[in-house]
Amino acid sequence: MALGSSVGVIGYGGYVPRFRIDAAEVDRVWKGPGMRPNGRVFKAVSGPDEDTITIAIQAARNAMKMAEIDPADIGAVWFGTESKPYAVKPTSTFVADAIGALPFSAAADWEFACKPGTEAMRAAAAMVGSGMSRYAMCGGADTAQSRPGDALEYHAGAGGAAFIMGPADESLAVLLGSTTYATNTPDFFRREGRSYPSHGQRFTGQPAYFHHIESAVARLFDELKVGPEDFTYAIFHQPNYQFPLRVGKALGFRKEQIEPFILTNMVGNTYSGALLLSFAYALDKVAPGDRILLASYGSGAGSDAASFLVTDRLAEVRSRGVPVQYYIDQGTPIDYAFYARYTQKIKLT
Amino acid sequence: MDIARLWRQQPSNIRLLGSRCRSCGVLTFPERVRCAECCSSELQAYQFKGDGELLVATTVYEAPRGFVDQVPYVAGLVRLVEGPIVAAMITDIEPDKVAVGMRVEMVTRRICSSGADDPIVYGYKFRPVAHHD
Amino acid sequence: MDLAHLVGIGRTKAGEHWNRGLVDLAVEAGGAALDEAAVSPTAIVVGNALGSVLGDQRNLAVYIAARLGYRQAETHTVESDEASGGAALRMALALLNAGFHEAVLVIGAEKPTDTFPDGVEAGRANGLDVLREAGFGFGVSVAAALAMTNYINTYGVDRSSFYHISAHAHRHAALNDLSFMSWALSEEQYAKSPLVADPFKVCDGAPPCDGAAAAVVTLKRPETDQTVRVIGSAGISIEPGIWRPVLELKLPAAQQSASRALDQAGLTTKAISLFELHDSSTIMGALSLEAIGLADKGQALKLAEGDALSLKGAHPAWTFGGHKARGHTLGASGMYQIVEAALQLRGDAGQNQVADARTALVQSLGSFGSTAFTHVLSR
Repeated sequence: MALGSSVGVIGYGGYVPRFRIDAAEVDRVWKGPGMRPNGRVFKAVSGPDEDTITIAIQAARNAMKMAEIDPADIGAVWFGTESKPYAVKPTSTFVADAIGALPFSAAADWEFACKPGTEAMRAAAAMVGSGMSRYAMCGGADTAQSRPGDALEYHAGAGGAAFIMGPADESLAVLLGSTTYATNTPDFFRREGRSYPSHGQRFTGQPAYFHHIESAVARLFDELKVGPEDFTYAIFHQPNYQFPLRVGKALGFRKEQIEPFILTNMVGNTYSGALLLSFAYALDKVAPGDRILLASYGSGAGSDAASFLVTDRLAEVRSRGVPVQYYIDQGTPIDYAFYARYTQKIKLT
Repeated sequence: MDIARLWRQQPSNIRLLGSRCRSCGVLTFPERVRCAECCSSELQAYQFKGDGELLVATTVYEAPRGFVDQVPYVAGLVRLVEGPIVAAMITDIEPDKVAVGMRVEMVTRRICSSGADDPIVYGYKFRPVAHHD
Repeated sequence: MDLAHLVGIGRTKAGEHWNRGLVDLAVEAGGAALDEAAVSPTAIVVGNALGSVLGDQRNLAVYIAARLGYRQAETHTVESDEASGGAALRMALALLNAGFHEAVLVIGAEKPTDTFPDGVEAGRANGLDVLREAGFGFGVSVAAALAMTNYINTYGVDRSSFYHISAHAHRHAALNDLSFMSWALSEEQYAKSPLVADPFKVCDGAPPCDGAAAAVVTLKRPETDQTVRVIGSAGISIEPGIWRPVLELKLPAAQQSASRALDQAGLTTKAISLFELHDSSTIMGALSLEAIGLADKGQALKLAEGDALSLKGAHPAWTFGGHKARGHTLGASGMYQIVEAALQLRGDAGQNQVADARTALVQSLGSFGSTAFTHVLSR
């Protein structure tokens, strides 16, 4: 549903913890050589003093550096995650506290597997577009969970991003429209009290990831009367390197529109953080006038699709932030032993 | 960590909130109820920026209880650009890369937790300034 | 002016007393002091740093008094971190000189070994700023490591030269049957000891251990010849924070309390026969030597390398091994120093005797040098 292009992104920030594990190292421990995914894959691992709250706070601070707004004007701080340090107690109150947005700010956590960030973004846009608040912050962050030895472990990374939505005339990228598509599909879940998620293996593909993204984007095309050729770039949720390329191809996009902003081989799949982190990474590099398609995917299952137009303002403000590339370049390799230690796979108590 | 105790520390721990004396202008971290310089009780909250310089550091191998799971960690003294000196851990850096005089910035990290049924203590640490173009 | 006479002393071995509790140790040392004294104290002051933090008895002095056979007495339990022993003695002097009592029993007692070392380290850390230092992973060893780092950088000394402070203490402890670490420390042992916090090694730290030391003090001069007088006493605390000793490499509280106590005694450091200082770590020992003026800034390690601090040297120090090698009984250490100084002045120090010891300066520090108590003793 279009909001008449009245709302957009006025600031954004990404964050990726510095540790990296090579998927080949995961392979070495669990499967032996020969089973590794195509190409080199490094995934980000949160340090021993990091979690979703600290990741979200850093992304939010970076967004605030760029936006240079009075935090009291932020009417909502909404972060999405599936790795809450507190099962009960909002992550978002920590973030809102850290940036000084409290006390007159909504602050709740959103959960929809990997897509709560775009769900929060649509709500934030609605909040601003309806005049309920001048600005609203949304974001996604995860220290992505994966069972040791599982296929997920090759990619499940750590990171997040924060976006501040505000009036279009202050925006570095204007939201031209967005849609959503959801069904009740149990392709991937983590039950209460369990450490690692379960998934339907090949079932997570066609009936899940592909069906939902394709449906959401098709609807967006319909509503905005656009097609793949109208976008400079398309950013899809990226559980691995191949899925976004395949879903893009099915939707009529060229590889060149998709490939520049796939981060899974550098930081892994950061679950709730993944799509928004790639969007932040893209905004660090795109030019005014570029159009960007965003399509998330959350198991359970749903997809949000959105269209953004980059404005001249981006060039003025983005140097105030910290580019995602900075954090990517900070990568410090660790072996599986340190990975196991840092991700609490070694139980001390 | 007792819940109320933790809650009371949050403004300084998470936001680096200190005090400015309305009477003599001195800045203190953390917040104080009375100025130690001029004894005035007219203090206002002061938001420190979180930028500073590392004055001295050590790598800790044998930690006090509560911090044992983080060793080896770097602990040092940081002089904030506004003046006060803060004792804090230095994170996101290999111990052998730590250099006195290094410019550092505040980040919020997990400090400790006494157990799974207790709150997590979040607070300031410092890391090398994120350099970029 | 005589502030008090030490008319009875006692101490337990410093070490691991697996079969003794905190009160037991205090009773053992206190009882020995009472046995020596010809008077019956009517007040008991107990110095203890960590008992309540480590889950032991609070209002300790009451329980010790009862176990010593008192039906009634005025009791005080004094806590001033690692300076608790010095603080307890000063409290006793105040009770005497106010005229409230004619004789007071002072005991320093500590029992850290029931607690695992990381718990003791955390308990000791609470003597630093509990919110801003201990709460952020800083303990006394971390603070000492930072001070060592700055000392090395500022004065250009070799990190291995801190060995001389430890080695010196061990030489004296080797002569003392009641010390925890009664052996000579080789350069190789020191070099090989594990890092606690770079560059602070295990052998740079005074080992926390159990023990109690006690003295009976009176205002009236005893009939016997054998008396040890307290002729100077000062207690000073300054703004706490590890940053000052770390960055300025100074211990102003130590310096000022020593200066006041010496003034009161009408003496200068030149007239002091022996020094018992707060060597909770090699760096604190070095900074203490500099604070009281025995060494110039940056020269303390060199001083320890020579034999100036030995029993026959110009400035005998840590004559029974100091905290480093006699063992650091934390809140009791201040009273060990007093008892050891008294033995020297009585001529009862055995193999540790400083010839013709006439005066002693005893200093006890807490909260990384923020709190200082100094006493000057004379025979």
